[in-house]
Amino acid sequence: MTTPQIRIVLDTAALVAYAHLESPAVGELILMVEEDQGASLIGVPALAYLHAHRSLAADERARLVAMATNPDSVVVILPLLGDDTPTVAGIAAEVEDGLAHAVVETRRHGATLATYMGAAARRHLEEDDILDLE
Amino acid sequence: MPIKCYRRYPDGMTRKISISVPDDVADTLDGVPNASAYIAEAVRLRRRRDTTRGILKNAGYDIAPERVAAMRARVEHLEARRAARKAGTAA
Repeated sequence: MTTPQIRIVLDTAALVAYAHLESPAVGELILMVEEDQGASLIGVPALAYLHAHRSLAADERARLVAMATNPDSVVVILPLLGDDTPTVAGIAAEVEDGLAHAVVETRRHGATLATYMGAAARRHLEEDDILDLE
Repeated sequence: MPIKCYRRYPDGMTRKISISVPDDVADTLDGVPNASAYIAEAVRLRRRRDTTRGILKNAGYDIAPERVAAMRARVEHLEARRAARKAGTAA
């Protein structure tokens, strides 16, 4: 089996919307990746997880935790690496921290960023790197 | 519960078991170099599928297959444009 690739990166807003039960689109992405039969994964940047977690009520938090931390699902948490920290900090001077980390992970993996903050993301990514969630 | 970062399938202990399978499955296993690895991978994929769908269902999401197909088309369109850009060709 080949090493699975990060195909989709979620940012803070996508995680919060999912936990609020306002984002079937995130669920569709999760099922899409599941259908890839082990070839790909969804990445949740650690900073996005942190910020989403902080903003949620207890029941919403449980939804986020279940989605992002189950070792048998297709979602993985992407750690903030030391070498990336200055770059993330630089981007975070302009956009929300979780989105900044998501931008860096999107670039690293050549993935698609799924976001509700497309305008902010476009300041740091190409148009075809961004999937605007609805 | 261990939190998963970007890694897959940690190595673990193995256990020898005896199972019965239909003839067609046995024929398939006869044709692969490592039947144990083949079965383990199949079980993991099935477990991942069940877990992923269970998480969404428990969260309260009921997603139609057509919506997943439509999302896949959107993502593949973006991926094709990105690949063309990186190859230096028009999308």
